[in-house]
Amino acid sequence: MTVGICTHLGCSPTDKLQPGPQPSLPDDWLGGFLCPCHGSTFDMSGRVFKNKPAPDNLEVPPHMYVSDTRLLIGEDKKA
Amino acid sequence: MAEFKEISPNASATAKLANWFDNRFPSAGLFYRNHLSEYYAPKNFNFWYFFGSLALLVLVIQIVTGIFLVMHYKPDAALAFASVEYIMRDVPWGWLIRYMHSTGASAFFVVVYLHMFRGLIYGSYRKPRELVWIFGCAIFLCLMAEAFFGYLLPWGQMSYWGAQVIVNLFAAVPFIGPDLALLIRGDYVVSDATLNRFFSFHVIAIPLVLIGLIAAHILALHDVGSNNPDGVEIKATKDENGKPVDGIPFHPYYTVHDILGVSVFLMVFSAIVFFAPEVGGYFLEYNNFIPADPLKTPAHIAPVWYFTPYYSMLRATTDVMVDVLSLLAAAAAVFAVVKCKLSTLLKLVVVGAAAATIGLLQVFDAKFWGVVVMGAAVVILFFLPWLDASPVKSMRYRPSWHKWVYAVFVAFFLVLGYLGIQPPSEIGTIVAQVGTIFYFGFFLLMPWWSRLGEFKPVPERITFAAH
Repeated sequence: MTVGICTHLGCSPTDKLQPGPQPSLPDDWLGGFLCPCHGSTFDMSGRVFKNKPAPDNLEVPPHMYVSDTRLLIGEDKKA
Repeated sequence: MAEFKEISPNASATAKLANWFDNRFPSAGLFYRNHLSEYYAPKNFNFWYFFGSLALLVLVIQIVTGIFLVMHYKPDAALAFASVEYIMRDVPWGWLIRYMHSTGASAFFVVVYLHMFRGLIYGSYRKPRELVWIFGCAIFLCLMAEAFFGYLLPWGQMSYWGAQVIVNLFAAVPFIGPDLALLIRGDYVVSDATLNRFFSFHVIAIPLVLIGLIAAHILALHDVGSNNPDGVEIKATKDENGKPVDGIPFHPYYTVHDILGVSVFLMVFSAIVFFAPEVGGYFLEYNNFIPADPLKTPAHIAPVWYFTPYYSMLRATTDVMVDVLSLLAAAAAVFAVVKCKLSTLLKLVVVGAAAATIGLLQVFDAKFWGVVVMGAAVVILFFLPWLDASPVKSMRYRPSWHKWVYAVFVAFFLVLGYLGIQPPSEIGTIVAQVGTIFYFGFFLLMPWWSRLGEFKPVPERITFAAH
């Protein structure tokens, strides 16, 4: 659960969930997200890889599970 | 206040008309003489000197085609994309007007880059032409802003994401950044509000500033006089009438001469407009034929070719690069302290400055420094007149190896431009980092290297063979 806006310059990272070598990605890619603008890469949890332009992990917005199938974004009430 | 001049009643009708105007509007005649018929330009101009007048021609093309585009374009996020397609398909000759405008944008940068390179190799920025150069750099900066604002207007995918990235550059400024980006955008994302203000900047604000700066550029040039490929001051050798011996009146000599340059330029320009207006995706990017989608960044986004060298520098500034820059700052300080003959106080200042630089480099993240590097790459041009310490102006009389320094500089600039178009890659990043360091090294070390070597004797008069 992250905001799909790159912490570098605000592009929208695309999902590269398939592991393995791919264009613009390292050969030992484990799956994650690639920002097409400046090549920042994020892992499955939106954590940024080192030595990439993006300074931070993808932002995690306040959110909570109302039930097993319903997600509420914007509020985060601890149980 | 000029005296009223009577003319003989037997004079020709044209002479009478000219006299009538001269009595009522003497400034026009004065302007004509100062800037055209009695502006003495060196007679040894070569083809590099076409690009100034060509830039003026492209400006006129852009303004005239722009006026017609605005008649049919709708600056509204819901209508903009369709209105551009309407211009392309339904407006009579609309496709021609738009292709002239889009090709004109790239042509502007082609001629301006060549114009700047001319100034670089012939030392046209040296005393007394510093202000001419500075006005020129300001024009270049305005031109970049103008191109950027205009690129949002078609409201395609590249327009949208280009604007998103560039506006977010301002968000990298420490402390005030996010608010600054919000102020520029007028919204939390690039939206209708952004489109409207960019439209206003593109068609009114920047063109006004641009025209004012161009007037200042030309007036300052005509006050100090044109440089030439020999870098010799023609005003130093005057005839008994006070006219430079090596100068010829701009009109008719260079006005006619420039017709050749204009003809060749228009051949290339028309060929592109009529046969290849997209230039393989370089002048008009393919992704920009897709309407803007705020939820999906295109797979490969790259700026238009004229921004790519600077874009590469932005992309090259990673954490490793910041560490390398810190090391370079430290090395420069050590070199200055050990090798240069400085007073103890100055040594302390140098060490302090280096320590502060390294501290700042490490405190703020690479993202911010990427923006700084990108901006500094343009701003450093303003300081060129004071960085160059060579005893001669023109490349012709500099040591031969200087030519290689300039050649490598140009090569790196082109390579950076090429890499900026390509998708990011490991090796590309390393090459771009080397290129970025060379770019800044070229300028920052200029006070040192530009005075080294065997300089050739500069002639008293220009070298010119009549043809």
